[in-house]
Amino acid sequence: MVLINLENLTKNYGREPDITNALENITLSFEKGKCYVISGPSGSGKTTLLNLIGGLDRPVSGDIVIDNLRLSGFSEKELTDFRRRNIGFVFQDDALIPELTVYENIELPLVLLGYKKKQRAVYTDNILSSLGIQLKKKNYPDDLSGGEKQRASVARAVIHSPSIVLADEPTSNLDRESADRVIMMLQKISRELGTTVIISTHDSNVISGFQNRIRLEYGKPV
Amino acid sequence: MLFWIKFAFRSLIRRYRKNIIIFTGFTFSIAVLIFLGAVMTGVNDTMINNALSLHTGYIVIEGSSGSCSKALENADRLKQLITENTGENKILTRVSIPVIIMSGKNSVPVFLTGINPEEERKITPIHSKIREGKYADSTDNSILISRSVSDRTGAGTGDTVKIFSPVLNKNASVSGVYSTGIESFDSAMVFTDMRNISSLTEGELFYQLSVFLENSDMLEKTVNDIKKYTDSESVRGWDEKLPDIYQLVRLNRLAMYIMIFLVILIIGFSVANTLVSSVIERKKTFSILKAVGSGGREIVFVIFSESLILTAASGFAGTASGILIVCITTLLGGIDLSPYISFNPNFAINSIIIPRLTPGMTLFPAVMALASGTAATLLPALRTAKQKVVSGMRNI
Repeated sequence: MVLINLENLTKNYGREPDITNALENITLSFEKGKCYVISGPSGSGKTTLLNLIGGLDRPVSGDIVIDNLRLSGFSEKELTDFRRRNIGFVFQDDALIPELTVYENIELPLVLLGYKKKQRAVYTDNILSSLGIQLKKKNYPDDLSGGEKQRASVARAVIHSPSIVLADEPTSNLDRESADRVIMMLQKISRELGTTVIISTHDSNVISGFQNRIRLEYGKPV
Repeated sequence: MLFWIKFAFRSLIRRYRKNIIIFTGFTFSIAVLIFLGAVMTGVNDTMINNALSLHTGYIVIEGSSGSCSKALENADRLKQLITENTGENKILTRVSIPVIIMSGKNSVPVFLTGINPEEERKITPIHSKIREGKYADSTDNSILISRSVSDRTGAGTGDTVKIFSPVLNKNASVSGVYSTGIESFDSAMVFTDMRNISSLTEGELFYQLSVFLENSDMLEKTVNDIKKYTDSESVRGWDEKLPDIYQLVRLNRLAMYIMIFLVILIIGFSVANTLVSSVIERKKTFSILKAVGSGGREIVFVIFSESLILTAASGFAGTASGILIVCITTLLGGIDLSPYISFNPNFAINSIIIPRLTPGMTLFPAVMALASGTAATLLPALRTAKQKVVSGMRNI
């Protein structure tokens, strides 16, 4: 079952005459509950594509349809609300909020969705123990290793059971062992929760572990 | 909401070096402004007290009657009514008549005022301003003149002067000479014992009751209360009786409020500057928040909370420090400004300034700090709320 449909998607940066085509007339679809890897060299449009699917940016032309909802018709407020409920992000850098503890970082999506403190505690403690970072829950991000930070990022991305998890180069700053652990974690989430996971990477080790691969070059799939 | 307040608090702690500078600046300014405000109020108090304690009192009730006995009868009746109904008991009764004092060929127009010397001694400081001779008493139709009148008529202690009016021509002896340093007062006032007044004057007399309030804040209420018991008498608060002093006091207050406003405004700009740079530094954090699903409302709330926590804390610390400084200064006996203002007629009686806190002057700097801090946050908060997520995410 197709969850995400990209129809003739184009995205440019800059102004005339210095326009850079980040994505050019892309048409793609992603199925529900499957895991995808998007590969390609730097500047090929991987991050732009994830930003568009996640509603962080808007295309110049074309449409993004997610679960029969056309994102181009959404206002900023609606887009924020959509993102809050349906999308989980894992960024290249750990992207944890330094002012919050690991526990608070992970419970953040639940706070935004209006969960009560007790409900949040149940979900957060569960995910902390399943990802093996329970002992670090009172620590601030600065006290964690790279792998621990990225595991906390994954926990934050999936705690509210979104239908889509977008991971932009999640292993680029990790050692092999930590990188494998994060990728396995994402694949497990996709399998067990029926979440569509899209990972962008240029790491050949990561790419080889996926069946569904999309390669971008100069803003186009090849 | 608690989550976001905690977030704002942690953000402040995380950038404590910058925030401690703002906190200290705000606290110091508020404390100094409160102290200056209290000193200004103390200067006003001293000025008012100097002007009022000499003779006028806070409230003046004036009327006229055909004869001395009738005037005193009316004044006593009114005094009793006021004491019974308002509880004020520091009330002085006087009768006065405009006359001309003549010595040799020199003459000056003055108000000859009949007083009760024993009562006056308890309330007014004229007796302490006698430079030669003695206070007015009931012997020999004696009068107390000022140095100013003495200089202009050439009469001194023990001399006999003539007292003229269209219906009067009497002799009186000078019992003493006083000088308050306030020319407008000294040149117009000549005193005699109330018991002499019927033998020294004829014609219509004016009687006057001066009420010396224990609590000056009760002025308006007491004036209104007294008006209920008076008929033809005029009742005036000191603000009407001495409009020049009243305007000066208001001008002082206005100047102080303007100064507080400007100082806090300048500090408000520094808060805005620090907050703008702090928000720019945290572009990434706010972008992550937005990516995760925070709306503009949460981000504006966090930035506003930071400013509120900072200004409220410094407002509290500044107000407490200001109050402490005022209390210490008061305990040390106030500020003696005699080297600077003793020749100023408004401070001729007393030039010790006792700083006094008023609710307005105490709270205004902190409230202004809160308002300017919040206003300073508006622009960075709104800009951050509207900022595109992708622009902040580029570095991630």
